[in-house]
Amino acid sequence: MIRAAIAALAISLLCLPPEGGSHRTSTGGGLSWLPPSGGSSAAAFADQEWTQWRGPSRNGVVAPAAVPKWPTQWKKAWRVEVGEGYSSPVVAGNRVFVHSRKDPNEIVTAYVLELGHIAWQHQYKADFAKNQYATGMGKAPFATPLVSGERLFTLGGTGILCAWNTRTGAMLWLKDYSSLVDTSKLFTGTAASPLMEGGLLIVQVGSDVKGGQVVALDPATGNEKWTWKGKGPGYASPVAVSVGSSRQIVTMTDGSIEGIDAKSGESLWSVPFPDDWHENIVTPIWTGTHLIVSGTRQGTHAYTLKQAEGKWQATEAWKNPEVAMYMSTPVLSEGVLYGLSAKKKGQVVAIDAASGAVKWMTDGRAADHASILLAGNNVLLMTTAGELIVVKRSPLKYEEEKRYTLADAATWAVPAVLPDALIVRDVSGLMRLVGS
Amino acid sequence: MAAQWTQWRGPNGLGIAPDKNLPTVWSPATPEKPAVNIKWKTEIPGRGHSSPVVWGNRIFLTTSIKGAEVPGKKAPVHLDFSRQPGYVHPDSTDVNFKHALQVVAVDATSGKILWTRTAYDGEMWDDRHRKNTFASSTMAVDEERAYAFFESAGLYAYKHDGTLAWKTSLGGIIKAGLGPGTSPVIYKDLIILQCDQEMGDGSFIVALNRKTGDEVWRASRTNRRSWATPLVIHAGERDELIASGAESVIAYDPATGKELWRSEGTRSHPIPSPVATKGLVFLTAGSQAKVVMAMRPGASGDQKDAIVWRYNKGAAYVPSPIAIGDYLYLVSDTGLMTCIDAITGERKYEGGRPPVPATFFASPVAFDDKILLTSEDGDSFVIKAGPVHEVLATNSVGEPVYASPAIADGTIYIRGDSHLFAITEMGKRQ
Repeated sequence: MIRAAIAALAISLLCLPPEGGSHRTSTGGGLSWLPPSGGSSAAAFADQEWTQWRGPSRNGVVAPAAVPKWPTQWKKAWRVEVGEGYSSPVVAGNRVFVHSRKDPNEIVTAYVLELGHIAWQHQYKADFAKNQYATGMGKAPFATPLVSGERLFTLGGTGILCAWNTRTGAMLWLKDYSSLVDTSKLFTGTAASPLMEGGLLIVQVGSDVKGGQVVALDPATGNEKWTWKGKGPGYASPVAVSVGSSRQIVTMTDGSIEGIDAKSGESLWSVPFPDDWHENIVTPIWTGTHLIVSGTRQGTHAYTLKQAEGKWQATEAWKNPEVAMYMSTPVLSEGVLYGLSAKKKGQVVAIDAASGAVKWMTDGRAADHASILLAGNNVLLMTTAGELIVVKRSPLKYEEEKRYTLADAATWAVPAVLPDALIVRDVSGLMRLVGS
Repeated sequence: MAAQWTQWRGPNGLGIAPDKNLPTVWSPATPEKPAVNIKWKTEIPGRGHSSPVVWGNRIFLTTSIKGAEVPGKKAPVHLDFSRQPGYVHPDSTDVNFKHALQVVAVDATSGKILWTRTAYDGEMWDDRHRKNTFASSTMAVDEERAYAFFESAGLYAYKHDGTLAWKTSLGGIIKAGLGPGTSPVIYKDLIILQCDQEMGDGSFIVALNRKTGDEVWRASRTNRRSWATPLVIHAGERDELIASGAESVIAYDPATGKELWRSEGTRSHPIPSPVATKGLVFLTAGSQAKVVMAMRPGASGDQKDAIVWRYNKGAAYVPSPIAIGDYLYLVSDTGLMTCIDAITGERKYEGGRPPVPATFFASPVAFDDKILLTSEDGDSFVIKAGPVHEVLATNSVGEPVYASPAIADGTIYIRGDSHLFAITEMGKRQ
């Protein structure tokens, strides 16, 4: 029934004209609220990019030019209600792109970065069957959009993948993977953020019940180039890593870690990483020598990847069951991983990436979840409680330098850190914060 | 009537309280918000995973205070599963520290500690698992005395006013360096203890006279180390004491210690305690293999047919299951719930889960068709009993919890890492 409804979505897209943006302040004609093309305002925003899951480099590292100067406080330049969803905002070309939901539709909106006005918005019907056991969880979208060139890619909770023109909002193509999504058992919805690798768009779709796929598509057409099939997704996002001369897509399923040839989609290696709840949420980290994964019930494990006699092998190098990350992907800096272990209701932790040894760990009850970023000499933790904790990037000890309250509502999304602003999505709204 | 909570999982050992007027929402005070439905909280010194027991206005529980190091003190030599000596569990610890083992009495109205008695203060007989404590056996209490079992360090009976009535030693009880777990059970004028150790040499169940501490009966057994508490049930015309075990499940006459019947064992570590409903008794174990067996008591001899149905998923390593009316509920170590029709073994649901990830050491308790699951993080999830999983509420005491809650006289008692919380409906306040 649900599937029929989704199939019947038949792409009834509602395209709002720019005038539909409710925040228009100018009474003059035309699009006078848009910064003049090529004008000073647009130029100032040209280098403000936060294009995918965990920032421009997909590793949680804030570009040096965007490292904030840590003001006394952050003030709201604007805030708009966007609807449901934990999908993080992305920023490119003076636009903030947000994927959200207002039942029964998923909505893709481009906001003007400076003003918070709607530049364009589309919505499509996506009947989302919430997992009956995930009572504390909101609805999708969960996956963070991806901007590549002039295209924006969104992957909704039910597995609807769309490509959009970032400027005009025109839909370029749509692929519907909702027939693979089943939330009746443990799976709660599509969450892996799309990845661009070697000119291919990589998405991970499916469910524990229906099985999973990693699919590489032509970003221009949506044509599938290769498909890997296996277990359902584990909610982590795929990453592309270089191991020697090999380029691999590494991702988590509901019970394993997978290495996939980035060009061919061929399975290179697979390591069991079982979990009672089918939750392997933390995005894997490749240090150059170690692949590090973590789970709240499994603890943190590191593997080396080697090729012997033409076969790839992932060998466990170390494990540390006392550091057990749930949803928070750590950041890597100078051989040290900074993260949030879920034990004792949240312990901020620094571990040696080569050995797994704990450098320091806080006592507990730090946060349910935190989006973790690296900005210059600081590790940033944006907690679900709406706080931004600025910690000294030091393997020697935990030292808080600043603590700001940025949101009044639960904050699950990764904030976009821009040269002079933070873009923060809380449980229902999106805001631009500027230092003062 | 002032309901009592007289032993591990209450008077009948099933974890079910008759109370109807209990709160389902609570939270301790924070700098921002006043406490909700917390009548009092009292700091309990030391470490102890024993549950509180309640008689009238008094609450009794045990704790252990770590003392001076005893350099060079070693645990007894343990046997591995092939009976080879030299086994050392990687998580075993603390035999080389003295410990004071204490009994604490708390006033149920005020939360004030009425008295503390040090039952034992000295060297330990064996290690404990680093997550276990030397004060993990829940006490038993009757109208006159409260009984504290510290396994190798002995059994102590205190009058309600704190006077020592009697004490006795059952000798060293060694369990692979993992520490105590089983709790005393009251049956008529007896106090019954299941003392399995190592690979079965020297295992026994013993019944002592409650008034004097004198041994009344002792049943030798060959079952290896266990941490489960035996369950007394009524089967047909007689009472049976059901004792879990890896090699065999054995039913004894609780009055005499005579073996009534035995059946296949849990194979996995016998840590969860048995439960019963609808004329059947349920044995579970979760490490390593997951085992659930429904057995029909009342027979005699070697009972291959005692097993009515089996289920090989969903059982926990430490927490016991709970059986209420028509259903048996399993809670895995990570909080996944399974509901099974007690009589037919038909699965009603599996994979019911708390709203946040959680790990469980405390066993569930139930009241008014609600199941209370309390996690290691100190979150209590109120689950609707019945064939459909529904989380009614999530609460927290704000500190880790390993002890199973107790319920008496309209109050839920939750023992956290450092405090005992009394949770009761405080009424609507301005």
